[in-house]
Amino acid sequence: MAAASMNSPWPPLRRLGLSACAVILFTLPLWSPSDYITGIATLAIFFAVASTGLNVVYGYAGLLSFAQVGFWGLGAYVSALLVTDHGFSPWTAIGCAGAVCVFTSLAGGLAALRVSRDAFVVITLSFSLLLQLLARSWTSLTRGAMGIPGLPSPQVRLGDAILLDGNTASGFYWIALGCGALVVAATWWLLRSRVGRAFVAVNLDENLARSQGISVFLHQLSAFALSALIGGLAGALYVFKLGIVDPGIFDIYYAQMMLIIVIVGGAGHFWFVLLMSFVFTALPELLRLAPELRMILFGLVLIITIQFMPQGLGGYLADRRNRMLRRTE
Amino acid sequence: MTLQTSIRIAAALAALALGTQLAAADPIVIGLSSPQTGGAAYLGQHQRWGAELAVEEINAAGGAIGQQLQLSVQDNQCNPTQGAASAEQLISVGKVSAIVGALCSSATLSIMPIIEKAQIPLVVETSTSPKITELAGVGGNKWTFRINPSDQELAIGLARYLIADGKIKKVAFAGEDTDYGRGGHAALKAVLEKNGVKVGNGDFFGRDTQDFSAFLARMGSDKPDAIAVYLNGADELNFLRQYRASGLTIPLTGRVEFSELQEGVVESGAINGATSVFPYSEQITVGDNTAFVERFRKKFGEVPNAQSYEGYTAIRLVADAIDRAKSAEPGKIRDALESASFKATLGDVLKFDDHHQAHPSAVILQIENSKVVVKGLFNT
Amino acid sequence: MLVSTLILNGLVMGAIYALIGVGLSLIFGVLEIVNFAHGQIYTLGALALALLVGHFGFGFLPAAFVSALGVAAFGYILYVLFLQHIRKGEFERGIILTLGIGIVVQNALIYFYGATPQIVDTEFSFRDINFLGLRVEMIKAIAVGFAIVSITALHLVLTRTRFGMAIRALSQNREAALVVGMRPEVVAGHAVVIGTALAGLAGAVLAPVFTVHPLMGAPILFKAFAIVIIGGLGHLPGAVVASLIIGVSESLAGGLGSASLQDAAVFLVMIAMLQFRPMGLFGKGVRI
Repeated sequence: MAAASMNSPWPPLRRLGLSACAVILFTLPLWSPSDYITGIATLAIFFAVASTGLNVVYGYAGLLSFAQVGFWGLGAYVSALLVTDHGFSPWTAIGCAGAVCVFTSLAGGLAALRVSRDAFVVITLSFSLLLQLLARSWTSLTRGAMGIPGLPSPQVRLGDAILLDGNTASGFYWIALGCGALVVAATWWLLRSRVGRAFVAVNLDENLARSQGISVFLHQLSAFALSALIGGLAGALYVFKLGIVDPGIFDIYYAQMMLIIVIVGGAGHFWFVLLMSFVFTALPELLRLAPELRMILFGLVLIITIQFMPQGLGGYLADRRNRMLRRTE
Repeated sequence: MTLQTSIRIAAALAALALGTQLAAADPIVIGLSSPQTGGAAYLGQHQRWGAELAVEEINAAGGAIGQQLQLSVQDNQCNPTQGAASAEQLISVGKVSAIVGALCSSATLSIMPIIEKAQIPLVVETSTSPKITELAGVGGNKWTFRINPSDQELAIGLARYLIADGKIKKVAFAGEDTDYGRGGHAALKAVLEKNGVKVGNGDFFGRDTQDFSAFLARMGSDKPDAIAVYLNGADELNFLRQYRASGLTIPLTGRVEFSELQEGVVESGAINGATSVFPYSEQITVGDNTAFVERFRKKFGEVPNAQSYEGYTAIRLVADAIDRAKSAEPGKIRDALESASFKATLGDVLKFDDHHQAHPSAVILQIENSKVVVKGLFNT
Repeated sequence: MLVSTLILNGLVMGAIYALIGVGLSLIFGVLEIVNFAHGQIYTLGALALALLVGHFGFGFLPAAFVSALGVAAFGYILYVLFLQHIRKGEFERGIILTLGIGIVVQNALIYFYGATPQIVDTEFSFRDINFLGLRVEMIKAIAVGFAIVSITALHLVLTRTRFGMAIRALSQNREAALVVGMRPEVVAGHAVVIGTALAGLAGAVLAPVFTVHPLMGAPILFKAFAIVIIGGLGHLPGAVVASLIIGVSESLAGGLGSASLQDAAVFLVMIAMLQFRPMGLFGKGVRI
């Protein structure tokens, strides 16, 4: 896990690149050839947000967590149940789902963070599997494997006028983009604040951080909670795209995708992880691979990355830039 | 891990998009949502074969309203989320005129709100959950039609047979933990308890359960008079093999599929006396069934089972509706389905009641001396 | 009668779990790698047997041997290509690497084999034996035989040979192996071969008992993790005891309770264990 290039200023080139990306993303439904492409882009946004959550806890705070898919699924179930059984609007339900995930992560983190980092991995994995078991077996609450179908689409209204309608592919895309951008921007801001720098300090050297008066436990716990919030919000909105939730939302596939995106992008490298979310969602569509073939390809990319550039693409490029700077000095 | 919604659907979809572009002529596309992978894939294969045979025969005879039919198949893996995704893809990319499916009740129930919103008729042909009938027609969903009997009606037929000799007083239940298993349990319990037979609370197994030995050991000590089985595909295969190994002599009943996959178990004599209620058996000789079995066997090398028969019938019924509507417009097909009076291969006439439920015949099967025997045909 | 049947069934499953758990624990003890591909290694053994018996007409016993050997060879390749490059302290890297291997293996199996469950019938199918008045499928009895023989053999190797001492030394302390006069990378390679062979064997002997498909390894993997944690990380006799505990608890939960209690049993045992013995049954001080 590399420390993020925290203090990099905003060189004009990067600013230009980011603005270009923003324009492309914002106008996508206008020039997208089909709803199908728009749907893929929507999926990429969900992966970008969920992976950013994993990046916070693993890339910045250095804790490998398999709980991310658990929070994603927990958020999904909470929002689906609140909407169907308690008549909440999708937006209130999504907010509540985020709150439930934060609360759960605090309770769970209190126990899981007292053990070693190795045990943390296994405990977070158990957490996600336990949630899946509950979703399957607690039939009176979750309806088990039958799932909760017929979820409504969220809308953005201004008075009586519907600004964005989640029923349409482009409407849902803009809703996802807006929410996603909000969450990602807030996370970026937080990571660049003192709190975020403390995450990295704790990750680099626990003892040094402790000697500087930084509470290791408190910062690990808040990184875990932040990742839970991000994952939960993403999952909570995602079910309205599916229109249904069943225990498959906890599928290890989602965990694998998030991990591949973070590792290949580079743990702790904010923008590269976002970029990889789009690459890994769009690339197989362009190549038109069978589902198994694309997972074989992804697995190979993961193996090669961890074998030859364990810091991911972001870490590799940062290394090269540093070496070049050193050479010119 | 199951392979996921987004990816699997996306790939299938990409292929589909390409396919529809190439076929510039305009055939009428009928969607089929069916489990093509996973534990129920064998059943899905038969459902697809039945549908393909019907499409082939209809096209050879000139198609419907002079246009060729084209079948577009989407995998639903028998689960609700994939089911919903398969319907979305069939509608938005496949541009289907009607959908047939989705084999598993939970997948069908998740598709129903989607086709209602999109206003595309859905012909359900193998899912047996009573919930589907409740929701269709005057139940609210005007776009769903079911041609196979629901577990409600199958249970009535089975109960009549089970209580006839008065020996069965207590029935245990092993079901899939889905709308199929739970719906079947509720229906059977309601009917049997009215006739003084006790039905247990039921044990429900998640899909892909491997080990049933603990449940079977409990049966050995509980000693019910029969065990009603509402499992599916590979899980049922595992169950029957372990039932044989357990040495139990409690007769099985419910919705056991005695198809060729179970041959080893049937031949071993371990499930002699087992009864099952099914919408179809290839051994039925009424109507045009013998000829149908022959055509099917010639094309695919296996005898048809309930899934293939129902898949075949559903496509035939949709083609008939298109012909009568003189249009492939979804709304007109729906109206034509409502007034359908379609003679199926078994000779019964499919008409929909106000819940869009047809009432075809069904069959009671029993294993006698390691052979499947038809014990009776009844009207649902 | 019911309880004794359930306990016997549980011990049978526990013996198979032990093959998987011991292999995982061995690899962890020597390499400090949590092998996330262990479930797929097990699957590989099952599919290899299905192929040998169903396609090439092998008898069950030779097929089981060949499957285990083939899987061991695959394990060795994994060690040479990947695992030996993982240094101590690169805990996360080992997990991500083996997770990637698992993804590739599983999807390659789906691609070449298809995801549909298959039945494997061998010359021992549809036969039963009588064990103390209880009926046991012959194929299960053979599986247990395999488990007992191979775990006993492993125990003898570990306690009676120089190589075994090196393995045990290495799992306590890296330098100690050098004292015994064996190079750590050779010992680690052997540990991986033995660990994967055991998992492959478990898959092979279970193949005729249940249906076989490429996704069968995923649920087993978590049980294996639980076994390693309950037994004490890297503690092999602990893994055997933990396997039997889990097998019997599952069977009792399913037989006296319900199917969903059976699914939950492994979680309940693990939570209870972490509550009362956080180091595992025979923990050697690794903090968990």
